[in-house]
Amino acid sequence: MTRVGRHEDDYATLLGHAAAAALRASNTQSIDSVFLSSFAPRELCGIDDAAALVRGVLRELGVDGTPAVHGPFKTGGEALHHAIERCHATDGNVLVIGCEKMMHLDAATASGLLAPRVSDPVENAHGATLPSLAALAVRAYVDAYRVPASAFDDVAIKNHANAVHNPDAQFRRAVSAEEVRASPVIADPLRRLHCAPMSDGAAACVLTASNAASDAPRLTGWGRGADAVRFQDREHAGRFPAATQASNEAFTRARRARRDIDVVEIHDAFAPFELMNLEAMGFFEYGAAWRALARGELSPGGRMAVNPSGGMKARGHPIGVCGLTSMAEIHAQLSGAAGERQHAGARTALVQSAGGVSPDTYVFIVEQ
Amino acid sequence: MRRKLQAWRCPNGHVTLQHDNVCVSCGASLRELHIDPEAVLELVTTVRVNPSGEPFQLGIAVTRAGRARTICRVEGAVRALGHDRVVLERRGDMIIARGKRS
Repeated sequence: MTRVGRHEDDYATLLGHAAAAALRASNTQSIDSVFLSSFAPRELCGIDDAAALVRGVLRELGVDGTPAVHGPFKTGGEALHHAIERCHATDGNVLVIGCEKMMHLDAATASGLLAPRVSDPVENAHGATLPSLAALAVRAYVDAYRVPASAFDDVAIKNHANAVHNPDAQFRRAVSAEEVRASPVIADPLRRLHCAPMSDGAAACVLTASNAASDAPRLTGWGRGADAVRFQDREHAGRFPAATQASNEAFTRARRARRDIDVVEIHDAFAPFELMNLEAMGFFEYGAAWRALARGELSPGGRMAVNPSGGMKARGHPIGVCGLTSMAEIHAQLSGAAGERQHAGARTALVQSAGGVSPDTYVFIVEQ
Repeated sequence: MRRKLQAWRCPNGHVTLQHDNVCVSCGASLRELHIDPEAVLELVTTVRVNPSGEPFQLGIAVTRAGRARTICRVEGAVRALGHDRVVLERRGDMIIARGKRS
């Protein structure tokens, strides 16, 4: 993956960096198909045919033949999910690649361009943005489970502390509770330091069904969950049933239990979502995750390292790439290559990839 | 006399304020009706950063008649405690929830 943050390189160049690194790491030039994730290449960069761009990049990199390019999918998780199924069906090498470029735009412009992609026409008509819908979800969560607001500050503080040790992170800077509380309100109760930033970045990996690369981590479980697209139609506004459904499917497929998981990279586009997703995926009772966080159990070296990369909050948030950047972190953790943020003895990990206020969620279990 | 609110109901009793092709809860066809506009504001947030540049309040309200849940713009005084009584009205494509204390 590339470093996450501002890049002067254009979209195609970023794609090329990520693809070249993945091909080098997998030691292959033979790719049967490609799955591209990129949330809004047309809206953000004016790219009408991102798949054609990928084909051009692969040609320049000397990839054999002309692999079919599928997508762009909206999240890294969605692209990965389809890629896994293709990999199993064809027994071939599948390249999963994600790219997003947003930082040439100011936040309000990007928010306006993205709005039609993150909410439905009814919500758009009311001026709903992603942070505003997230704020409503967090309000419902707080109302239902009486989680203290300081818990959300603690998520941001932990993830920024983790990112200090991640050379690919956008914010390699610790933040204090005072800084979080002093940051401006975006949509109450969410403050700027509770929200993931806009980011540029690209990431890629090669999936193979064979045992040729037997020392590489193995994807042993995967699952998908869905919820009502329109926020108002959700049965419980403060819960993420899609995460429950996706994780149950993934754990069943992997024949693993929650207690087996050492490291987790999950959706924290808004800091409270980290707690809400941990609970939805069955790691804690509803309303209980914040206590484990306060006890330091969710940091590297604790009971289970959660977002050791810094998460979307601090590693950065190139929207359509996030499932793949999370996968890159899990690869580093399971290979013992995560440096100062390494969770000792990491053998089994979980990646969650979700879009928006989690109407679609993908969960993967990876083992060394 | 207070103006009734245009709504749609399916044969299974699901009521919505949005004119969808079918009921989002069960997929059945919808029939138009008019309901009392009184509602309870379940959730509300003040959106300070948004493309318009002007803060506004966004919420989720539930009508007392038929329990239709809807996204809405909130105007007027509300306490935002999850049980404000509001009156809903349509303004173009938007549902407006007006605080009863305003």
